[in-house]
Amino acid sequence: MAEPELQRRTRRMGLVLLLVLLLLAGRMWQLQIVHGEHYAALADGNRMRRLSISAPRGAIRDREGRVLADNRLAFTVSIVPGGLVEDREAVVERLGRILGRSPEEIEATLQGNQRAYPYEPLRVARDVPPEVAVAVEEQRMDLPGVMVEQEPIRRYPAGNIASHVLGYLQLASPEDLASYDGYRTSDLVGRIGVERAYEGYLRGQRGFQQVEVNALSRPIRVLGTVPPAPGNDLVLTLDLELQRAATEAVAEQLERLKQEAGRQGPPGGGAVVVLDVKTGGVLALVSYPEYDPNKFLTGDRGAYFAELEKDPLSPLFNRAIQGAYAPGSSFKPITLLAALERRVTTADEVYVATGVVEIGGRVFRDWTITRGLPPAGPVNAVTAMERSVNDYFYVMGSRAGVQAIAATARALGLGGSAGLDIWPQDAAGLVPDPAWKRASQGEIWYPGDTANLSIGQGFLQVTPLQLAVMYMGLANRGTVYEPYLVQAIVSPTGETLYRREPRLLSYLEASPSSWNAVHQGLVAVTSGERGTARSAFARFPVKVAGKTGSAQVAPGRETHAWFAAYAPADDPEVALAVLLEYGGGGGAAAAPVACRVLAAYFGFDGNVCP
Amino acid sequence: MRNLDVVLLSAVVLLLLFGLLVVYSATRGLAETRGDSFYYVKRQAIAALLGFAAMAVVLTVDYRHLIKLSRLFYLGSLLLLAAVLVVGRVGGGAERWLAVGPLSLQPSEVAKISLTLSLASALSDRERVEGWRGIFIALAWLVPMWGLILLQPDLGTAMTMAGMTLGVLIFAGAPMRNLALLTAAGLGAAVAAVVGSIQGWLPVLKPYQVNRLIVFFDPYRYRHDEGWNVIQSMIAIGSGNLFGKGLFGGSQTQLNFLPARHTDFIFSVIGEEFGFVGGAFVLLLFGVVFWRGGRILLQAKDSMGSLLVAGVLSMIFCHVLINIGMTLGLMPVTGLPLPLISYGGTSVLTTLTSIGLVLNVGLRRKKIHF
Repeated sequence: MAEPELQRRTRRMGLVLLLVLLLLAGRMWQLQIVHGEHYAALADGNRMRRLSISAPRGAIRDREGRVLADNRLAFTVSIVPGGLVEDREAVVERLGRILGRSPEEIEATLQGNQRAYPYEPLRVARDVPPEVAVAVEEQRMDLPGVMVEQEPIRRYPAGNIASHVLGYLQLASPEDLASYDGYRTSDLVGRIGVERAYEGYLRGQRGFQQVEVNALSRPIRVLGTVPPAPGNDLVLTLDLELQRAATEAVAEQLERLKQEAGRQGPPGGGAVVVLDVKTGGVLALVSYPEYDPNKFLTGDRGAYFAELEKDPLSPLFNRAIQGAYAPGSSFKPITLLAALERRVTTADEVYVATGVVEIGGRVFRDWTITRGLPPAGPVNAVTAMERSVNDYFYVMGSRAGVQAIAATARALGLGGSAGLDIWPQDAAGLVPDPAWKRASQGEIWYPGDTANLSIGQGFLQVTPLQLAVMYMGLANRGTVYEPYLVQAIVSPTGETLYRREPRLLSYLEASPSSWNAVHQGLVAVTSGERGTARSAFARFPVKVAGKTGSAQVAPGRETHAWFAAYAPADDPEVALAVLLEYGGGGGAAAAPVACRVLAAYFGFDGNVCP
Repeated sequence: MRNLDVVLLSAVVLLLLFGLLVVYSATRGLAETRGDSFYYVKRQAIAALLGFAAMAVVLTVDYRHLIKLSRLFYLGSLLLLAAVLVVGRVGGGAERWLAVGPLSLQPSEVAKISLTLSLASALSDRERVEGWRGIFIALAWLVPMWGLILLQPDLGTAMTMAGMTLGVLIFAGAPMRNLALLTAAGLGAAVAAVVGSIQGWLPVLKPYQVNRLIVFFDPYRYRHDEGWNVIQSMIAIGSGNLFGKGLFGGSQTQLNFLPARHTDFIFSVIGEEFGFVGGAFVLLLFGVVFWRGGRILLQAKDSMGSLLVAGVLSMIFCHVLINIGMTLGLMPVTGLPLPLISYGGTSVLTTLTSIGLVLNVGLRRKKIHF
């Protein structure tokens, strides 16, 4: 090539080259200077992330300040799905090996939370032992997208005790996420009990942390923190020690009954409700068997749940508020009150009990006859109550009539939910009357139905809570307070946000003479010569007004054993109801339990009870 | 040694030193997992020392002797390229590396030098370049290598080799009109290959290559996959603004948002941590290399020398354009290193060797009397 041509081409190519370099520089100018702010914002968006900090759930304490539920710090292993970009399978498998879980399980957790935002950490394993947390941290380079967080975990120091009152926590369901605001997909929410009823107060407000993350979404540096606002504390009316004593009394009695010879089938579960008659506050609420809410927070909660479901005594069932049973003779004060108030009898009227009475063409027999004992003979209101003479109440109930009995029962809190502040709501039970029977059974009301109702049998159904509420009404001579569990809500700074005042649930108007008759009858039950609960309270230092109940439920099985009472009889402080499913006679099975619960309340030792 | 171009050499040394600094910034986190935050820097420095040694060796031998050996180099390169296809190590979807003990060798880098030497030899006879002849001769040298490169496949190297061949042909005196036609035909074939691969009637490109090309036109549509690299690179560079975020201050770099930040996307690190000023500085240094190289091209004793320089400069130019263009979202993503800056021993070694060839031509230039 000729020299000038080479020079020309070189110059030209040099120019082209210069233009290309200028083009590159121009593009740099465009990105860095013209759109520099935009890209700077994008870079910050890349590296900044808002992580939420779980708020510690509010503590739950009993009336003395003893802890029923609080939190401890635990290690939680989480995965940021958006950080699992490379090698997802290998990471999941490696993590599974450390946690001792199958990769499928972990994938299922991730897949089960499709709604999650890609940069929201999903909890894969809660409350892992420190050595597992350390192992995850050590292998952090091989576990992109995996992080170890410290977060508060619920703790129930009393274990089984009061589990039905407290309830338990579970992973938020899609419905929870829809109905509550601001929950993280893998958050825990109160599923049942006070934990659920007061979820909004307990959960607090979660905090946020602005962190710098790397491309694998692993936090590198904290840039700023908005601390979480802990949840509010609940102060319950419950007395932990009374609750414990009541639970043990029921458990031991059921165990003893199980060993007893000559029984018709084993006993079922049990329930105890103790109320403060001056306020309606619940001092103890036991449903036995109980469960351990701590175990719902562990990795194998599924197995625990299955085990509870399989148990024939249904430990998850809160029989104290959900179980509806015939109250048996413990209902008799209502029959007596109805008869006295309708003036179809007087407290002094002497009725000669023969053990057999015919009502509406049907023959009704007293329990003395069926057991081959001599009938009671002449009785009045007080001695009929003391000896639980069925034929007296058949007759008096029939004289008073179903409407009067039903109205009295409703005025003392039966036949409708008591409105306890717990979830699920306590059951309404059933106070039957002709209108109800017509509507539900399509049948007319027979005189025999009234007779059955008079001794707390037949269609009548009450919960243990309702029976305690009814005896609160008897103790207060007609004033029935709404039962409640939470007496105060206290903010984390110690400020009382809410204090419960007693609320009237209903009121039964009755003359003092009627109240006196009922009161004397109930006192005679525990202290009269032939009182059905005499043996249980023979050595009890405080006068107790109570009534036994032995409700027939199924032929060939023992009766449900009831005992309901208030004490001290002359200046009542507490009302209680004890139920032992298929426990047998109320005096023999339930009254000793009631004695032990009252002994615990008054601070007596076990010697005062049988 | 009076004729050694010290300005060119200084620009090269500056680029290398700047490159070591940026490689350190880009790899200190990564290298810590190996227990030595200077791991990559040390390896790169050793490659550079080997490169300068090779340069010194190249300078002692007259380039005309080297060109005489070009067929041997060419054959050797073909063998290496074939070996890669048989026993090569896969990286990024293509087989590109040969393991040599603890080192890995990228034969395509070596092949570029051999091709330069061969083209300089074949096209230096002025008679033979007239009309279409020179073009056919050049293609005859290019095509066997191209075939092996495309089998890997390594689009970036193929593009570079095409650019080099075009560069040598321009300076060999091939008619510009014919070269324009050739370029147009080449671009047409490339478009046909892309369109054909997308639509399926001419499946010559692998799916990932097609994706990279689609991404090039619409990176945000594929921001989680193939588009990620380009977007993160543009964010890195754009957020650097005028003066950059400072050494070690780039969040895109230090927090691993930038992929392949010490190799293909090293220019993004420069853009983020040193800003427009840093990027322009690198372009300026390459400008100096081209300027001094162009001087040597014009002063070469014979056309063999000027063609050799033309080939080397075209090669470096293609690398700079394709690599930096890629980081700026102007070029599709290909695995081409930025010469003298990107981490990669073979690239540093061969670039320094080929700069040695340019200096060699300059050393033996004709006497100029002003």
